[in-house]
Amino acid sequence: MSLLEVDTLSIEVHGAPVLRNVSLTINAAEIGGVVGESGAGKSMLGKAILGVLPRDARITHGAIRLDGQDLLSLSARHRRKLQSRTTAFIPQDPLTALNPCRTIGAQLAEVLPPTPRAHRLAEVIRWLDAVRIPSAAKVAKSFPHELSGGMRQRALIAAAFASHPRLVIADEPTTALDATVQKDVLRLIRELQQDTGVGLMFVTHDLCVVAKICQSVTVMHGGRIIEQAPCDQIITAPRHAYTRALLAATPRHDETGRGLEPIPPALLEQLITEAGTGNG
Amino acid sequence: MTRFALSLASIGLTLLGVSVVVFAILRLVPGDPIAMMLPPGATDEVRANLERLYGLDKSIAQQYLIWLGDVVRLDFGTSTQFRLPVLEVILDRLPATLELVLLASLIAGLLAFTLSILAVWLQTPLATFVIDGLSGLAQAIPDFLWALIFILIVTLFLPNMPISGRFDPRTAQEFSTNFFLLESLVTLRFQAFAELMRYAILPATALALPLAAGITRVLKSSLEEAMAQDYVMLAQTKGKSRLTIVLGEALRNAMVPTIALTSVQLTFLIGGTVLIERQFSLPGIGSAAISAVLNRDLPLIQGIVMIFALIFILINLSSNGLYKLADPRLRKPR
Amino acid sequence: MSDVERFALSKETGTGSGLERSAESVSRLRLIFGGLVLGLLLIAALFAPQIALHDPTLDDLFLINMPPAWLNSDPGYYGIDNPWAYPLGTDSLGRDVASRLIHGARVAVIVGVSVACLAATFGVILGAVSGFYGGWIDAIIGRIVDVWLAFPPVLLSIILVALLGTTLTSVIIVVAVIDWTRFARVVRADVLQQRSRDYIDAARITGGSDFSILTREVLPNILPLLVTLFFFEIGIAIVVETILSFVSLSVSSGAVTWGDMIAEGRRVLNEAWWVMTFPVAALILTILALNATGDALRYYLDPVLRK
Ligand SMILES: Nc1ncnc2c1ncn2[C@@H]1O[C@H](COP(=O)(O)OP(=O)(O)OP(=O)(O)O)[C@@H](O)[C@H]1O
Ligand SMILES: [Mg+2]
Repeated sequence: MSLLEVDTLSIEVHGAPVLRNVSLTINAAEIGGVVGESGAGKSMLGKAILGVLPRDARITHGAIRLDGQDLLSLSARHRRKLQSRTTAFIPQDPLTALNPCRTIGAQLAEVLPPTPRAHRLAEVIRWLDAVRIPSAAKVAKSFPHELSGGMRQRALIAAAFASHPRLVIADEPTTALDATVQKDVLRLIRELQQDTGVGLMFVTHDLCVVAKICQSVTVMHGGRIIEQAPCDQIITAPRHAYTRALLAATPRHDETGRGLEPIPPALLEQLITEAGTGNG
Repeated sequence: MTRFALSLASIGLTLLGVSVVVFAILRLVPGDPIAMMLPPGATDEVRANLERLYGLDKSIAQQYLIWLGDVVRLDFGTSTQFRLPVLEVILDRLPATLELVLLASLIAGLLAFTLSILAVWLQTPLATFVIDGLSGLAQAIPDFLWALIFILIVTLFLPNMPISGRFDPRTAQEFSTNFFLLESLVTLRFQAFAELMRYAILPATALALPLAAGITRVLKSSLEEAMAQDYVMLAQTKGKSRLTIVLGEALRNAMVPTIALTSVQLTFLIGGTVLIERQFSLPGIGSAAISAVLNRDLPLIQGIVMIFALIFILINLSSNGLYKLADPRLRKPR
Repeated sequence: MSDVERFALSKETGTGSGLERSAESVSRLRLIFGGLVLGLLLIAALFAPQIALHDPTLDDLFLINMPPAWLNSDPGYYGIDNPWAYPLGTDSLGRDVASRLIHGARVAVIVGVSVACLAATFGVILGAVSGFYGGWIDAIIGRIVDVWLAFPPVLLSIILVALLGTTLTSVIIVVAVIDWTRFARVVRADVLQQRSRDYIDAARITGGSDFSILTREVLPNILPLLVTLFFFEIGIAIVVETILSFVSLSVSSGAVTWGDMIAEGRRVLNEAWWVMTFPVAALILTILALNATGDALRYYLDPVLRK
């Protein structure tokens, strides 16, 4: 049994489909990549799994199972309680994902599993150390605006892993960061994932990153899955034209590690029509 | 420390400006205070004596400097109407006004926080519509008119509800201060407190409604803005309920704009006591101000205006401190 | 004005965000309601002598405190045949409430519109001067605004009117002199903001004068807010006039005002509730209509709100 199973999930916002028949599995101790351009529905998929869809989004079909438990059949309260212990989220933008009015320590402490009050600060500092934040004791008492973007993202990563989840969803966790910081943060996430053995769903624009860390890849476009395969197969032998275009648009594995370049509109047009018929 | 000194200097400057303006208005504009005090057919000699007594025989600049010198020694002169020191009149009546303001602010805050948190928590179109409509209505109609509406309703439908005075003189209570409401609470005389509240609730609510509406509007839209932020979604993934998130995450972030508006509107509320006290015959400094104007009681007007100005300035100043308390980004970097 | 205040001000006069979805239809409803009421008010003000059934100042000792027509069970007692000749009843001097209401609309419109025009003109000019020239001019005007805001406005207007004399002109001048800061703050803040933008520099380099920047860049930008404030100001002025009457500083004898009616009605409230009720209702309706119109016009004029 896989850790996460998304089964033919469809979501509409105001009647317009944003996810169509999306299926995906992620095993424990494994990283599954999800790639696709802006608007492909990657974040929507992540929010659906976490149970934080916007109010106007409606699940029209499908199931989401975590350890075999169907999440969509649970009551909202029960699901919230279950998922607060089993799933965690690393957001894209560390600027807006931390509450500006509360200290880093307070925001980290509340995700810790029940800990005696006296040990909480020590535990918080231990986690800040674990994500290699310098002078952790001081940072714990700091407010978000007093930290750099990279430090904030590290704190968010610490918060994601500190609840001892089974599944972590990272939604473009490096996009908002400097190129040099990106690599460190990426390495950090990978190390923590390996140490803790969680399943990780890694959402990104960047096939290059996927190639480095993922075991399997899901390529999405327009709310559908275009191609789904083990990582090396996608890189060496992509079957779908859209994936090939993505690969072609990805700069060679260079040190700057920039994201995607835009796909030419004409090709995009053609790919969209293909996607409409290609995957059902 | 220098910043504190600067803001103190700024207060002083504004107060000085207020005093010059009010002095100039009262002396340069026609209107004869002495004539108001003279019995009919008084001789010129009596008049001259009175003028000398109140210092009106000197030039305006001299009068101002003398008055300013006295004010610095906390001597605001003598009320021509009550024939008592101005400071004594003010201190005697200030408690009634302060209690009114305090009660009104409490009512406004309670209404506003309950309604806007409710609207953001429930998130239903109906709740939003009702709360927006109510606050729109409460804000459009000024406190003066709310008071008239209340008086009308009470007169027509609730003849037992008092609409005049602070308490029933027949059931006179023993109070050692003029803070009746507070004193009855502190000394645990709850029956007296309830009786006093019956008198205080209508004027306080009339004052509170526009402020409540103002706070509701800002607080609600700031809360909505905060609830759309990423950290709220992250809090959801941590298993917090919506109400917990509204109270624990969004509220703090919505406080700065709310404090900014509240401090501006609180000064309107305090200015509003002038009329409300008159409408409900409350013995505060507001009603004293109006009777001072009608009776050309210049020293009392000056004193009361200066007190109002001081209160206004203090409110603006403390709101600056409150911003920093509410939002760490506005604090000085450590 | 600090950012925080600016923000608060924009919120204060903004339309409620909860209704955004139906902002269009709400604005239309507001405009219809406001236009209807204000239209009636204007007609009453313009044609008061033609519409009113009676002389609003004519006492009649036989008609004292006569109730409104639909409650008047015994018109013969007052010596009249048709109670509908006095639809809203009479006051303690036997004057027709309806006729007084209609004539009172005149004073309300005159006071409201003149005050709003004066205060807006003052405020826009001083705010623009303050924003464009900066330096010591800005400091002085800013200090004046501070001093102004340190006065309770109602008390100040009572003092000024008491001293200047209770004529229509002095009421208008006093309220305008007190309320210009409302406009000045908005204009100054926007001038400062516009000046910090690049295209203003460009306009300056190509020889645009401050005046042309004011008329071409600043005013169009804040026009929606100014229009809203203008309508609010009309309402404020009408209420202040009422308040002055209420504290027995009524506009000089002869003119009929809602404030006089309310003050008189308050005295006889126990015997004749209708004397106060109708002018209060008229006043509330007028204020709500002014607010609704101001908000609706802002929505229609502001491309940002309309999206
Ligand atoms: N709150 C929302 N309300 C309505 N539609 C939304 C909302 N959020 C997203 N959508 C729509 O859902 C679709 C998928 O959006 P999503 O955010 O999942 O894309 P994405 O793949 O994460 O893109 P990006 O790479 O830019 O983050 C888009 O077409 C978007 O317009
Ligand atoms: Mg996304």
